[in-house]
Amino acid sequence: MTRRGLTLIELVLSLGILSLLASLCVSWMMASVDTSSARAGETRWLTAAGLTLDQIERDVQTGDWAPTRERRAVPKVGVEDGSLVIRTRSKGLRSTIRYRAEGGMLAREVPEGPARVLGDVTRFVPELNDDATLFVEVSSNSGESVSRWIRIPGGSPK
Amino acid sequence: MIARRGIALLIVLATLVVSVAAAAITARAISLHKATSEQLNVAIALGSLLPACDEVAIDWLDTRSKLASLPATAPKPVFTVLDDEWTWDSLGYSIKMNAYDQLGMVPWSMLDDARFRAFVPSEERDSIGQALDAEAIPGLDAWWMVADGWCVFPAELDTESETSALGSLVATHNPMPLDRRAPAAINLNTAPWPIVEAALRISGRSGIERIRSARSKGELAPVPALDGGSASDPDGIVLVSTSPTWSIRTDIRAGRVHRAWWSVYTHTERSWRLVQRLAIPE
Repeated sequence: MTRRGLTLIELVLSLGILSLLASLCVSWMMASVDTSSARAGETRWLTAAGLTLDQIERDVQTGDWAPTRERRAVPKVGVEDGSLVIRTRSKGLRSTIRYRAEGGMLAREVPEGPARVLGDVTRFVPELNDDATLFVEVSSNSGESVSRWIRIPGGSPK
Repeated sequence: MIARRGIALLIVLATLVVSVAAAAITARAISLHKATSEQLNVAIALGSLLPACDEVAIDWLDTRSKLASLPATAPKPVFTVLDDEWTWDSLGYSIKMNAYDQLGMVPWSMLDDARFRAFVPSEERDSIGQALDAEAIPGLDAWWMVADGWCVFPAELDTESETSALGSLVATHNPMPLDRRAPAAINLNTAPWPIVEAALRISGRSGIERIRSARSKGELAPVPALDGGSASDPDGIVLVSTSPTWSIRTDIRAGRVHRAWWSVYTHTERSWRLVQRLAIPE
């Protein structure tokens, strides 16, 4: 019985096809890994941004609206120099919280001190509207953006 | 021939392995991204439901609170405002709202009064006394800070259990305005019976059986006239038959996400106003 092996041409051809397929697959896989890492980064940022907006919403929704002299003189929510200022209530006492974007970071400043709540921030836009709503938008370097309309309870902020 | 098939099989296997791995990585990234987006949407939906609950609360206060009457056996001045469940986009949602009459509880300014002391356990009473800062507006969050294992916020499903939360026992916004010297008020139609008895005794009024009878029928009992023809309420207690101050616990669920709020509304001039809102800690 004679055993016929591969000819040189067949071997070269099959190796060529194999390397072509392998390179295609590897490049596809690398692209997938890149996409996956990018998506994971975006996902992490989106999660953090969503939690930050949750925190802002909680700060806006919480507090006192009793008709005191201070309440009439100073609005509960304000925008000062691009920062969001919320006069709220913490641990049973009046407290002021300020959200400020600086150096690519969004910080939440409370009387106890500032805390960084979100990184990679290129844009932070708080806007007060006449219908007692607050619009907040944060954007990242990679183009991700999260925004939310928050109704200010207790009537107009003005 | 066999060798050729073997090589071909190896090529196919290698291609398959690489393809499957790449597909799995891509699918995982996409599903993670989708799940995160859904979670964000749920958070946004919860945030938008809370203002809608405000509308429901105001509507209940406008229409139903004026008719609020409980049987004399009711241990707490609590009413169900809303208990709703629905499914949307394969996600289960629920909203529960319970209203507590601030004028159906022991007024915060009278915690030290001998005639109301018995209704609040001494340990809790002392701790609240410490938390009541003259410069701060009273609130359950301040009491929660000093709570030593006792329950402050009423439970989501308020049953007639023996354990009473302070939020259903002591009023943070009675008297209103928040002034220790202002007279406190008691709603004869919602307050637990021992409080009604004490309030009638203090204010020198009779007609307790008429109140009990009206409450058992779900009707509003009018405030009885003062005994002896006196024109004013002594001892800073005002008796009323409807309440201008209510606190409402709101529970919103979307899937596994749950948020709860404690909101206090008061009637000022011609409309109801939200005067305090606290996030209830888990």
